[in-house]
Amino acid sequence: MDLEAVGAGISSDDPAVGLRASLALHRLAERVEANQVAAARQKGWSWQKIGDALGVTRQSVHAKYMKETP
Amino acid sequence: MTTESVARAVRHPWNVYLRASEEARRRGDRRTGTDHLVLALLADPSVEAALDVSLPQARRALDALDHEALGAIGVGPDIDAPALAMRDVPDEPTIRTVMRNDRRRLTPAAKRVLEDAVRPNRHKTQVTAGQVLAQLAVRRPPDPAAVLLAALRVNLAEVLTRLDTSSLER
Repeated sequence: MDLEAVGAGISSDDPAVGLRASLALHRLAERVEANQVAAARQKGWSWQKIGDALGVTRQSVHAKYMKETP
Repeated sequence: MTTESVARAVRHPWNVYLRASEEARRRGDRRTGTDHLVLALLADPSVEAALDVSLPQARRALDALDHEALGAIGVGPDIDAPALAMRDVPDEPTIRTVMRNDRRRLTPAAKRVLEDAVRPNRHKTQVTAGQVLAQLAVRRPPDPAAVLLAALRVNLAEVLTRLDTSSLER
């Protein structure tokens, strides 16, 4: 990722595009986290270990993802 | 399938909300927005026919808008993560179903759309797609539903004039 380009883009004049990009980054991060938590569970990681990796308690990560399975 | 049948088809507002919430969860959103309400309605084939847009088309349009915005700040299109799997939503959700569901909260705009759509109804547990679409039609960019519908080249006002207004006002 070209960080200089990101910096230049953030100072773009169109708030509609910039704000949408901000939300899109949030979405991307959420999807990466959800997919990686599912992968970690499939590999036998405990909720405690996943919580440690994400810097949150095992309760919060469990509460967020325990219903993710379709 | 006629557009009139879209207006008459009664559904539970919680069904619309939970389906929209699932769309939000699928995309990785923390809140359920007006764009997710559009996707929730498009789960009904008769709404797809009325708007002449399919649910996959609408989802792709949202992804394209995201990629466009990310591209504008220098984040390349090759950076992506798969969407999450959708889960089933009951047609007639109970309060227990809603409370136990890890639903995404509505944005203020989406909450207003649903509340205003249900307001004229005697039974607050009933709403039609036409009523929700009528409330979405008054939204203007940068509202997410308005942006999505513009990207899809859907003129909601035109669609609504084809709907049976008498059934909209039930």
